[in-house]
Amino acid sequence: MYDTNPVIRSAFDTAAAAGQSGLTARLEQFLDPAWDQGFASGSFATIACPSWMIGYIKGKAGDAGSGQWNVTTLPGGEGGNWGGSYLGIPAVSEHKEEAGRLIAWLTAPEQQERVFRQVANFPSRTEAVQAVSDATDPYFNDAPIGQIFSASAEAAPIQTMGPNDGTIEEVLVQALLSVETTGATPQAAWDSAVSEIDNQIG
Amino acid sequence: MTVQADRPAPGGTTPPGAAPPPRPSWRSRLHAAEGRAAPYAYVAPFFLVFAAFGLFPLIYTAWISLHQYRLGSRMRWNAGENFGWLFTNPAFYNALWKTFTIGVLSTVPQLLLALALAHLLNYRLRGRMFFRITMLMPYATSVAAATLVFAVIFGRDQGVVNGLLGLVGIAPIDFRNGDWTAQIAISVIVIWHWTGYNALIYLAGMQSIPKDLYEAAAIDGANRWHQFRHVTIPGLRPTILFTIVVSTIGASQLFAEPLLFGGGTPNGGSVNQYQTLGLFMYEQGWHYGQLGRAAAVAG
Repeated sequence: MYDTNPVIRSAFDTAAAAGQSGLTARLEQFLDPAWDQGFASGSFATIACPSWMIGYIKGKAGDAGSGQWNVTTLPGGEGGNWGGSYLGIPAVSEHKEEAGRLIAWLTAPEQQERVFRQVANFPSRTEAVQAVSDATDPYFNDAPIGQIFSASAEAAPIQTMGPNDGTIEEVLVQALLSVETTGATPQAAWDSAVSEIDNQIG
Repeated sequence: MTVQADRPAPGGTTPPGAAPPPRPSWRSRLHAAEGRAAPYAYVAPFFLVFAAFGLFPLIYTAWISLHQYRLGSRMRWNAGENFGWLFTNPAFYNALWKTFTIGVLSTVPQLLLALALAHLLNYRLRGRMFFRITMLMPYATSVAAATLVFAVIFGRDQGVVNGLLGLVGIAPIDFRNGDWTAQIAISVIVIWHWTGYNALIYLAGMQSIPKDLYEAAAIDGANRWHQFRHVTIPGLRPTILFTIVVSTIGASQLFAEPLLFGGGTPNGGSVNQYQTLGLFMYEQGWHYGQLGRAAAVAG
């Protein structure tokens, strides 16, 4: 499906074009140690990231980065969803009741609001989303993060995940990285990604 | 075997016509049985442990490799399908080739360096013991810790290596994203870790070469290089063979260094430029959950 979906192809080409034209820092995120250092040393200017990475940026850029960063919407007012957490109870759990109560407490709007105001993990409950709409963050020049991430969440398309979602994502991301770092053409990278995905999930 | 001395003489040695020997008492029969069984009991622990942790995993891996077996689901027989997939997969040949190139890049300089170091340490040096112990320090360091440090040292923006290259006017190198540069960086980690170990083995070998051979060579007018070339190297031949075998086995199993150099993902870089066979197997098994295919790689 992914290889006939025009949205995916156009997103791939946009990202590949950015990598090809030298707009990117050629740092693989989370994995290249220079990426973490880059937050503190300012070796890249912007980063497309979900709300939970607000806390990550603060941690890596440190106090010196306070006031040096800001938050804005994605170009064109697009929204998105990049990961999150899931809570579940194993069938063999000895304390299902208590675990259920803990999950109910953790996901209650009050707790979600507090978490967002502390570390910016975006709430999943609509009541909590409303409650944080006025949130700002002094570290990011008082950016209205509540408003920005609420709008992004509203604009986000509903994502359906298939069992091979992770494999496809991984190979496509790796292909984008190869455009960025080895100078492969977007077409060649796409073709090799498609053949690798076929190979892996076929 | 001394055990055989405890056994009663075989019946065939009884002279013909003589009265049959008295029936041995139960005590002596027990004693005889013990004599026969004891050696097996003594070696049993090794073989039991080997069967549980060596033989069984080997056979079971071969068995799994003949199934489609995704992590968390049931095994389903698919005969040789995994092997068909493997041998037509360009990623497998890439991993095979990278294992070979990284192996050569790390083993050859490592052994040459170890030989040179051992040769120097064989001289009467002040603080010889100190140098010998220092050489073994990298070997005692955890591979994981060393790799994490080296990943920072080879960093593109703040790495020490690029800092030094900058001093002599060489532009920063993006080690992890380059093809050969990433392989060289990983080889350096391996070299750093194993050179001291091999040097000590060479040193032990060198000290067992008789001194009179050197004296004879010196009398014949051989200088130090000639002595090294024609006395030390031939004397070390078995040792060198041993280190080559051990290093080659180590190189073919290379896993932790490329995994952690990449930051913990087993894909070996943007174009799999440093994906070894170990990483490829791990990626199939634990990353994509294809245990059957991973077992085929292992086979």
